[in-house]
Amino acid sequence: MEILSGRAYATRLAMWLVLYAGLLFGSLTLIDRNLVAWLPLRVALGLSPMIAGFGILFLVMGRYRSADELQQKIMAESLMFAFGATAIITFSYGFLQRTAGAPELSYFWVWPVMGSAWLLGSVIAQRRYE
Amino acid sequence: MRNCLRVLRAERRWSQADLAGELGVSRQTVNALETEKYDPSLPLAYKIGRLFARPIEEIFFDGEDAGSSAQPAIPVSAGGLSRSDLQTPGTVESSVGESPVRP
Repeated sequence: MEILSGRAYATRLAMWLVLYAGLLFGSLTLIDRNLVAWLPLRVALGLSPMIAGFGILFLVMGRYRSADELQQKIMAESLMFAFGATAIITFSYGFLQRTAGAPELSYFWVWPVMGSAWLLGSVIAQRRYE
Repeated sequence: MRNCLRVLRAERRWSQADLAGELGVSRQTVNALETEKYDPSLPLAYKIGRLFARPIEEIFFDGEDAGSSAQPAIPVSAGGLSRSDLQTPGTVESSVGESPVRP
């Protein structure tokens, strides 16, 4: 299996993010200007940034598989932290919506919450083995 | 689990990066092993043993084998280690056959 160095991983991640930004900008431009009327095509365009999403998913999985055993452990611990923290935060907000009238939020907020928790989990896990 | 990896590496005048390269792991992993914050898998432990041409029980030892002493139980810098160097009196029989490395 190809071993992804930190630099190779960062380069590929940057490439996928650039593609994501391009697809997002392009699809939103076409949709917002009503240049695409056919619904299936509008849906496909609207979802097109997720092509880059899949690319990033497989990149991260490849990074995990090519990491050594301690790095895998750190990644697993940080993802576990992110998984649990996101559950706690989103559930808490859901309960606040029901009980305290917290405003509706877009599903887009779930990933920033999980990504932030992943980052925090990574810092915590890294420090355990320094 | 305790180990004498740092001493063995120093004997060969390797940097952590050198050892990491030999083992195919990151320098961070070598550091975590040397500071005993991470215990290697059995395959990695065997790889380390092969690299230093020593049985893994001469490199890794658990607290039970080594007693309560804060120092490693073996004179790692003396070279030519024998299994008896690893054991404190009275613990040989009970520890023979046990793997000192977690899978």
